[in-house]
Amino acid sequence: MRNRFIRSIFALGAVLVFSPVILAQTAKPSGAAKAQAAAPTPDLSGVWLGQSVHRFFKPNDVLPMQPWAEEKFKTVREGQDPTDKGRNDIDPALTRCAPPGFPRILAQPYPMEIVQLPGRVLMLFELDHWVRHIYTDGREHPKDPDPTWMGHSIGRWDGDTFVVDTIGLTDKTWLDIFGYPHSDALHVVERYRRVNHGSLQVGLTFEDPKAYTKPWKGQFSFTLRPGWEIEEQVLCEDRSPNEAR
Amino acid sequence: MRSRLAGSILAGVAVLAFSPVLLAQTAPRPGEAKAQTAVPTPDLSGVWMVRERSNTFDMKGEPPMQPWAEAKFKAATKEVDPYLSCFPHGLPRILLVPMPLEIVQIPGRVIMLHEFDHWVRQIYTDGREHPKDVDPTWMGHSIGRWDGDTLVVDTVGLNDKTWLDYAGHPHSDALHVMERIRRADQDTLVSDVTIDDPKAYTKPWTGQKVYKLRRDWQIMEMVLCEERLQLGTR
Repeated sequence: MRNRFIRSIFALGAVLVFSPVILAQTAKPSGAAKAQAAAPTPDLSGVWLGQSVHRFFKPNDVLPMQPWAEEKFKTVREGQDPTDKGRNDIDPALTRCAPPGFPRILAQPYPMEIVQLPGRVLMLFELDHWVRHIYTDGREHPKDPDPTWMGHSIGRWDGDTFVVDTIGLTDKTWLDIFGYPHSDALHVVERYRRVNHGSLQVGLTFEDPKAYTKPWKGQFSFTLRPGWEIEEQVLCEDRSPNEAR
Repeated sequence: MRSRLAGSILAGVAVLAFSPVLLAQTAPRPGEAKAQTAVPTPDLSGVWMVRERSNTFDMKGEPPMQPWAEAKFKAATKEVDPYLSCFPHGLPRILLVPMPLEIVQIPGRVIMLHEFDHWVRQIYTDGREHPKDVDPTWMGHSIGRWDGDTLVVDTVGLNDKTWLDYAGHPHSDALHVMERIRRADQDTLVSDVTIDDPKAYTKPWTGQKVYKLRRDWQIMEMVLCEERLQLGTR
């Protein structure tokens, strides 16, 4: 986050250079205009910073947990104020330098850049240089994906809304900094919409029948940071190697 | 690397989907055709894999080390490899990793997505200079320009916590890495790497690394030291 201001001067140049290309990407070659009647793909590209309150749910939202999940969550919240994050001493991201994983990585105090490529949308997270590949080429999820920290994501455009479907997530992570538990059956649907030029809102639907009794919803928002760039950040870099282990 | 085969079937679709857009990116807009006479930007995009494993860049002879660097190199046994402490490989060592790396070209930038520990390298091709007093990082600050069919990348601002390569060649924070990356043929990427580090070497030296295109591969998730992280994760 250092040098953010200084670098922003350089970044402006990049943004200016960027603009004509976005046009070129969506501009149809002459002659193809009539054949290709689909609306142009909405543009979500840019560097975004998540809202300052890093939660998808309101503090008093009661999520419909299965008994084991409720038990686990109770431990995580022990002695914590409702607005506090989950207990640091059992937070996997703090005690083991474990990746925050998805969806927790969405709600972090670091910027995230969206890059739109043909057939794919990339999310480049500054936090520990994580990359999320969201395939928009029409593929399905693999039948039996190996669980990973970021899961397997496919996306499609629904008008001005980018709909992302994610499965294949490891159960080693917390759902967010507040410590909501989840299982490897977690299925998340995100609906991103640029409500105005500088604001990106996402509605999330969570489904995890192993840990929750019914699906539930959350939401989050991002603000555009013109002139910002993703810088280098390494998880637990400030710890000695032994601690990092 | 698991599921590479299964993923490859799906990936074919992605490659096909990719092609029209590259055209769209380089195709001049109507009316601009005459004004814009520059050659189209070469296309290095795709998933690449080192052609063969090696401890260092292919070079002639041993790099000309300063005495302290030579002593450090002699003491560079596997036991003191920074990698054992889960330190990032950093640049340029990450270029030798036998795992795929994807090159993505967008306006003003070339992005290298390394499968190894999900590292991302941003190479700015928008004409900017390096920052005057850049804080050292693992990947440094990279700017690039096109010289005919070759992407010329210039990197400074590297920390001195890493080895240059698997062989354990040391370097200082004065390290300046220049890469000349070109597509020798459709499936072959050749990178000539020049190492200039007057604090550690008596003169600049060069090496080479060759990569092969992996058409149906995708970058998968790999986390450094994950097996250790799993131990006792609550």
